[in-house]
Amino acid sequence: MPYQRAALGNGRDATTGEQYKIAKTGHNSTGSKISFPCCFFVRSAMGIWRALTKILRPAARRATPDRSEKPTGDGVEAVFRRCADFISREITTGGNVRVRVFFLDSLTSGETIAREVLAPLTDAGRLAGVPAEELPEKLLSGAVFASSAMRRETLGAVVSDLLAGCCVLVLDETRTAVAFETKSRDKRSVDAPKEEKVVKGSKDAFTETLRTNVALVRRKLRSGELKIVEFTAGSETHTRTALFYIDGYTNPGIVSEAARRLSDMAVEGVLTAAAVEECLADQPRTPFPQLLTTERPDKFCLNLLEGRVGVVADGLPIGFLAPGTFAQFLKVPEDAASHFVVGTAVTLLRCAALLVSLLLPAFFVAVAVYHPEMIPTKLLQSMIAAKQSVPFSAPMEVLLMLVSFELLQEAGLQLPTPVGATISIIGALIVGQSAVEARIVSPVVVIVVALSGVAGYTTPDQDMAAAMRLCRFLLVLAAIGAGMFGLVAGLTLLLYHLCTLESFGVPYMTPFVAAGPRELLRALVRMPLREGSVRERALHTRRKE
Amino acid sequence: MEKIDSLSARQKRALTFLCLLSPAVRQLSELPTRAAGAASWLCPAAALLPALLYAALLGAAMRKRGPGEGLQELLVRAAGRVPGRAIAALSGIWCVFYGGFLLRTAADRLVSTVYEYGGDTFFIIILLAVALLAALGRVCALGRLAEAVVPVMLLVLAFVLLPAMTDVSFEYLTPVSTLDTGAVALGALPLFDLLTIQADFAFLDGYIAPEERETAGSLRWTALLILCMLLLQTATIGGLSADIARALPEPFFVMVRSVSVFSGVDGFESLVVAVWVVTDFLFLAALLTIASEILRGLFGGGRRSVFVWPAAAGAVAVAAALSGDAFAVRRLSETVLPVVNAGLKLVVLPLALAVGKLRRKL
Amino acid sequence: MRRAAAFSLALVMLLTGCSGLRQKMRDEADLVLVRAVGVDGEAGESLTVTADTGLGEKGEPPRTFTASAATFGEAVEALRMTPECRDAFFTHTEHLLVGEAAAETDLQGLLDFVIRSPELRLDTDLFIMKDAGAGETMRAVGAGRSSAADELSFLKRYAARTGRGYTVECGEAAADMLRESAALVPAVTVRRSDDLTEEESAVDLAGMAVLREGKLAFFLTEEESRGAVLLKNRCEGAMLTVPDERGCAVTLRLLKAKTTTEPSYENGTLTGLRLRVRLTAGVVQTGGYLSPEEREVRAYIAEKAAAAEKEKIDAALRRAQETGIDFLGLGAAIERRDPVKFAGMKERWDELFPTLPVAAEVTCTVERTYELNTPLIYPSP
Repeated sequence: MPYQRAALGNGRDATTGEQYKIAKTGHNSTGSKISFPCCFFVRSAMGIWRALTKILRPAARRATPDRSEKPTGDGVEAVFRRCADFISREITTGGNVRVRVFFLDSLTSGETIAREVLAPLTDAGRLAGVPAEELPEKLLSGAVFASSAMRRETLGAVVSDLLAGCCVLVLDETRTAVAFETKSRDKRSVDAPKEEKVVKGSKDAFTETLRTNVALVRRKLRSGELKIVEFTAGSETHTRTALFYIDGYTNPGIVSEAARRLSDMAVEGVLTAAAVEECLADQPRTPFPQLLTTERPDKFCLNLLEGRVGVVADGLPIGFLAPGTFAQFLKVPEDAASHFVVGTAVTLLRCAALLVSLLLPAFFVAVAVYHPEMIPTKLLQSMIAAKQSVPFSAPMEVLLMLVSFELLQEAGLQLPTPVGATISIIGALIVGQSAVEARIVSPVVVIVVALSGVAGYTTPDQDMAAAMRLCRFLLVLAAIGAGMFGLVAGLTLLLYHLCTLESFGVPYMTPFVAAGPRELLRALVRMPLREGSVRERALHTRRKE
Repeated sequence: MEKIDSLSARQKRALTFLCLLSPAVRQLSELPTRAAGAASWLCPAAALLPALLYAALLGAAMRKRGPGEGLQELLVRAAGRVPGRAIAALSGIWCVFYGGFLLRTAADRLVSTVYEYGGDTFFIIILLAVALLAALGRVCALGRLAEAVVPVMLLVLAFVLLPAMTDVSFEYLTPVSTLDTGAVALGALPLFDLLTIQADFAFLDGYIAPEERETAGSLRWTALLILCMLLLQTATIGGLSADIARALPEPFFVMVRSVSVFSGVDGFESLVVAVWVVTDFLFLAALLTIASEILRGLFGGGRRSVFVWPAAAGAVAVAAALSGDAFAVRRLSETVLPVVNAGLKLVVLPLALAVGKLRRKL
Repeated sequence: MRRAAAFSLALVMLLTGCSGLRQKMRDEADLVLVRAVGVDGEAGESLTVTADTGLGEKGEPPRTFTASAATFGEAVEALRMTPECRDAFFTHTEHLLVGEAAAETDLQGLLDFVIRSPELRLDTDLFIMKDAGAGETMRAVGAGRSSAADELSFLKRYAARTGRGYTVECGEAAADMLRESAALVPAVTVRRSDDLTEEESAVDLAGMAVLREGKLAFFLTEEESRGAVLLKNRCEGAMLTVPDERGCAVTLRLLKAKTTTEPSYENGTLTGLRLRVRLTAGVVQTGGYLSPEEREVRAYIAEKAAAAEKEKIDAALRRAQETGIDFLGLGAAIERRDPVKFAGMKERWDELFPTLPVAAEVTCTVERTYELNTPLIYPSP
């Protein structure tokens, strides 16, 4: 599986530090190809920057100590030179051993350090007569009150712990270090989900803190079989990521593959959801999402119970779930919360809305331009009358309105909330109403585009909705080119593309493909919970139903 | 995670079903309607038993294959290396030729029913491009596409046939008597011949896991296809009458033009014609895939996608040779193609497999 | 890479429109929806085609356009060459109105064009104009409050209730001519009624017309048309008035008609044909004295109704045999019943039919009396 390596501006490999040449068609930081002329200028610019960097910062680079060496106080100070939040203290223990205590003020709780580390450390009664060689063992076996204590043998491990919010004690004499868990409790409190509406479910959402998110999941899935494996990703950010799965029935193949991809994540930083998605997805180039994302722990847990694996990254208030299949992006937990008949009706409505959103503008263009015989006589008469004096052709009208719709939507997203809603309403009224009255577009086109847009909003997953909007444009172009034939050809290509996608070995179009009629029915119909388990057969979970 | 290219038996049956729908609507309007007239709606029923028998025999023969073996490997094992490869080569040439013919007829159908001002070339290029894309990809993607399209196709058929059946005039479907037996049997022959094309899909059996060998499934799908053909022919003859239908090149689509749903929605033959194009895409992609699979076997392996290009070039050459003469295409469809196909599927193939049985190679 | 090439080729072809499909593209604003087409003149000489758009969306008066050429197909294209009718759109054409002269000379060519055309449809209704030209009728009706297209649409819905005829589609007419060598199609005429002004006209059903070998043969009288309609079982809703025992008028509505064919054979040869026509009717109005609830009253009324309708059926049968044209489809009915026996005489049916003894036996059943069982008899002072 080809994963994209993040190409740094100076052509250095992010993980190994090796130099590599950028080929004629180079890759930019997201992995997409760029053209040769652009590449030439980029290469020249990077060469100049590299030279300048060498000239301006040689000393700093040479002075950075080797992280694999044994930890020393000077080594730690050298790494964190010119860091304003770096605190270094020399302490004499109760046994008269001089130790150096380091912590990052921004990530740790001073009170915790003082109470749980420094106080017992300096207590004459506790560590009296303990020589330097025996001190680490004493500290690890409970002499200090911190909830966790870990021995560290390398400078790199000490640096990682400091960056994780630990307080580290370094003994220069024995060149060992002990790290204590002293994270600051400053974090955003658990709030209601903002992007996903909740009607009948729990109103808590993931936060940016990994531990909090783990706690939220644990509270919902109180099972010893829920396993959480941590990884570190990002060569610069060293972000902690956690892999969730239910031991005993999540497909072990999926678990091992997810673990492999998480450990192979070759990115500089995990600061956006795209960093995780592009590294975990089978095919990052397709606009269709292959990982479910959610800010709701209940939805996260529901999918774990269905046999999926979950990933949460520190700093991102989102949970990622894999494998992601097409049908999953149309589901919301509210379907399970409602009566099964109502849930089924709403699911079917959502599927119909997806088709309307995708196909209606293209269908209208095909019919209006190439196949007006499909329009009932009275409606066609009405459309002809409305079209008089409109200067643009039907395809141009549709494209104009689609672009306007997208502009309004984007404007609504970018503007601050109090202003955004107003702009959207005003824009819709002014653009829509005025355009019709000025005979720039015909009313039917406004209705078609508006209906298509509103139908698109019923798609719960925003990434899927965005992909569908993109496809909508392409299908309109296909319909302009060849009418119904073009539309069907475009739709066939789209469907074929979806059929080529897989997510962790599971076909993307499951359960419409590679599954029996029962699985298809379960995707479209919300079965009563008593009548079957929630696990999907396509995920090949281990326990029998 | 290593990507494995495999096909399930269900996907292959779905693919076969959809692919055969494409020529079915053309075959129904030719000899069966001309020969049997008002009784031609019985021709699919008359073809049912022989079709089921053929499917059962083919299934029984394919049960003898080993893991990863398709019909090509089976033929080599049964008839010997040279004769087996010769038969496979013939089948490959047949697939390429039929692919070219399909390109031509599909484009012709679009021009004569909907796009009266368009030329063949454009449709041939688009059809080829989309089918090529699918043929160059994995076989499992083609199978999944077929599986996903089957419900859509059945829905479209239901949408068209249900109101069409309410408009059927029983006077047009009668009289039917024992005098029509011969004519119905004659009309059933090209339909049975069409159904033997499912033997070409057996070249893809190498992609199917050995434990998936459901003959019952293929019999069900054959019966479903026959049922669809029966309903199509009944709706066409019942709506237009046999006298008019036999004079039209695409009577089913002309009948669809008159179908009305909810007394307001009508004239959707363009939609039906366009949806039928999906079966053409699938069939052409399948033929190119089968031909490339055969070529790969003949030339000692390698990536199958490499062999798609010569197959596609052959199909284009055939389409170009047939271009511009709708009458020659019709003659070909009614005479040469059924005879060649019958020779291959009903004589050569069974003979080779019988020889294999006698030699105890199967 | 290869996939991208295949896809890009297709996309370029699609978008650049080098497809020749531009001619198929239409601008809605320019579309002229033609809802009825009239044909006058004689084939080979000059056929005149008149297109009628029907009433507008908000009741605007209809527009008519005219063009002439040697054949129907040429005339339709010539219509498209006129500036006002450049984008004439025929897929919504519901009615084809053919003048008498055109029907007598070129109906076959006309139907051939309709069947071949991707725009015109086989379910377009076919009417033959009687005693007036098609174009002239369209213009006359269009000058008033209605349009020929709307009038013919109205006729389509209510033709059966008139009892004088029924509508037939082009495909149906062609199929009947192919199968039975004759077809019945409705004839229409223009009328001026008392409540219309001098400038206003309407289209009315004027019985049925007989087509033979792709041409108009003759028109049936009103009585013969009624008989044909009954034999074809197309008379649902037609009204009939008969006297009761006291001589008062009783109006019946025919609900259903069912004709069964009973051929008789001797030594394998067809010697006669009996047609059993069973009518079902409902009482719409009585004279006010005798109650149809009583069996005897019903039987009397039914007998009178059957006798009245039998006269019409006999008239239709006589006309068919006199002209030797089986426009009633009796041969096809015998074939459906006895296909094996009829196979031997199918070739000679045209010779056999005129002299074949055909007898019609009509029975009528009064099935319902609607909302009133017993007439209200008002006491006299």
